[in-house]
Amino acid sequence: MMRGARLVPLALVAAFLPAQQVTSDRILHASSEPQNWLTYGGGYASNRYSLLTKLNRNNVGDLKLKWVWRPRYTEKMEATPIVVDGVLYTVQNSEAVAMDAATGRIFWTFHYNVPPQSNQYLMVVKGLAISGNSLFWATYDGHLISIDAKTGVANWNHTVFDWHQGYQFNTAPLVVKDKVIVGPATNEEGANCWVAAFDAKTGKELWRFYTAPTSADQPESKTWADESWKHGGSPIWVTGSYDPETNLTFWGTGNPNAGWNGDNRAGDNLYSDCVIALDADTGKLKWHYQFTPHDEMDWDSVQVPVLATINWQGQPRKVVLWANRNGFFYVLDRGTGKFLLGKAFVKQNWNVGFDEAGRPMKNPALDPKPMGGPYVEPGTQGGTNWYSPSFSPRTGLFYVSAWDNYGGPSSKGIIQEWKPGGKYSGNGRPPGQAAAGRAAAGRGAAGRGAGGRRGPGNPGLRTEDEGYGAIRAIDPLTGEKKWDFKMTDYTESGLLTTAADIIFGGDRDGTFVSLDARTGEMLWHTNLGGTVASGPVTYEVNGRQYVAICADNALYAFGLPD
Amino acid sequence: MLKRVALAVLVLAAAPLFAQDGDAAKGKELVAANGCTRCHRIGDTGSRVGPNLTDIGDRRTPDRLETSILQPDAEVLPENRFVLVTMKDGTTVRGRLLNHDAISVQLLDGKEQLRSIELKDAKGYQILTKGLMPSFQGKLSPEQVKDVVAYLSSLKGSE
Repeated sequence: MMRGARLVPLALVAAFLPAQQVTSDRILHASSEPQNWLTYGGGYASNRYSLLTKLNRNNVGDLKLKWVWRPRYTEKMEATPIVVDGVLYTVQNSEAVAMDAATGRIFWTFHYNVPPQSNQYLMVVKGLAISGNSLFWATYDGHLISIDAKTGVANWNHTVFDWHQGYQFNTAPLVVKDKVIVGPATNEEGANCWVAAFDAKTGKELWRFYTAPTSADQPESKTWADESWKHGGSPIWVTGSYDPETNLTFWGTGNPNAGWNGDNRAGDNLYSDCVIALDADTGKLKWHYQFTPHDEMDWDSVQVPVLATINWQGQPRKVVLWANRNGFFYVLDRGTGKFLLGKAFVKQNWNVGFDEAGRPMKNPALDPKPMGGPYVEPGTQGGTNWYSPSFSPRTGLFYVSAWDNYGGPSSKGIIQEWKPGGKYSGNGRPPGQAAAGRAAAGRGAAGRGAGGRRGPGNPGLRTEDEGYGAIRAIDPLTGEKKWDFKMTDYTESGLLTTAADIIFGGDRDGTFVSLDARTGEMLWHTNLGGTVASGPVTYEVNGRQYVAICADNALYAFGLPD
Repeated sequence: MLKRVALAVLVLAAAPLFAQDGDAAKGKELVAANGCTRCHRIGDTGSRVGPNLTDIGDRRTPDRLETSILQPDAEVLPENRFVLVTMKDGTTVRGRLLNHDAISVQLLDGKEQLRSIELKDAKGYQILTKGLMPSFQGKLSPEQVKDVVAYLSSLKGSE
């Protein structure tokens, strides 16, 4: 028990003073404390841009591993940590932890046993949110838990939904003022999803906006044939953003169900594959824009809404920047949702142009057909996916993890009979029949339709014809590519830029890399031995800047040598 | 075996009777008047440094609660131990012990700050299990002790 000098025990009844809390005002002005990382996207604009500059182009090449944290679970980690005043909080599977951000040593661990049978894909959790002295964890099996950030003790634990009905929480919540905003996913199970706000103090639900209709009386139900709206899905599985000037919170919605076969749901299928702008106090819809009406390619629009002010046609304009899974980069007016720009950022063949309102004009020859044809670019995994992009106000560039030269046949198949918690994906196969996909499409066995390998393996066997991943810089004024950092395999990594004009990202091969944000030149790299599938964060402790990233099932922190 | 069962039934039956002897409302006033929340947390009030009492009624029997009040050193759970770190410059840091290893110690200090201290920066540290809480023997009357026990026994958590 005794280490070092013998010390005299003291009576410890003292005047205890509470530490500084993470107030709403602090989150609102997160950029004024760049030593911290207070939200999933690094701030309400979700641009993953940090003002820290101690790491720069001259010294980033000296980065060294400082510590590693490995949870007791083996799934690939997708969580973005929160960092507050030297304490890092993160979550994986069934445990949330607080650790010293400089050393990785654990302060506390909070366990909530997520039932393994609730796992429909991966027990994905993308992170925590913080408000006051409370952390918020939306668990895979439908609980919303408030945890005391100092002690790791639950303040409250509410059941929001029954996961048997086909719901899961994947998302890091977003705290706006006194509300915790979050929504569920449905993994092709036809459960109609929503965005909802909960009282941060009590957990009481305050408002809910459904992303698929709940009644035939709603106008949106007319965008679904017959009663197909009843199992419309339209999931939420990536965190939204918030604009304090308009009090709007922006969320991307996922694909309609049944996902790969739209035969029984003729119409646009609102509000699937949309960005929805909701009043943060009431949940009322202010505007929406639908990226892919009547989607049959699983092109969820669950990308992170990036809020920026750009010099649009000679005038400053508040916009939402969005690189969509359907392969197009969009610029939308933030206040109205008006379509300003839509330009392909990867090879695509499904859209022949936009009408004046920004509605895509689909190439009818590429409408999905049963059993694998035709060949659509991008493929079902998209030109990008949920990987957090970044926008640097200094370079004026938007950065995205892209999958290019990538396509595949649709997976259109039989629409299953809907039942709670059962697959309702529209890619069912008749008994004894092989799955559609790359073989049926006659494109070889290179994995184009399946999205390539998943993690380190043998990338040397791939060819460029099979598609490639890239960290891609896009000029939001034109949608034009400025530079590429190409990878052999695809990438699932989020991105981070800093005011030192450097960018961090990774790939499926396990590479974690820093680039010059203006040119794409590689400045530093290391290999973490597992897929990088989260977003990097940066923070400072005692004047030292760190960069943290998850790869496979571990969290790594890097800094300059002592 | 029958005697043991009978004894267990007697103990279980006696525990709630003990708690019912006191006046929980008066006990709540005594807890406030004696500054217990300077170290303990109840609901969303009080310090996080001492043991959280929000659901103590579910976790401790009345007789153990009485012991904690009158002889607080008699039982200190591992998670409630304190640590006193003496830094190389002679200053000290104290708080609730959270974690420690060969190179560092982690604690929640009196300002409710989570702190990690590397031992290379310290002369040493001592884990404390005694003297963390004053005894209320002689400071509270037997009736008042019953009142406090009744109040603490009523704390069952928020949900």
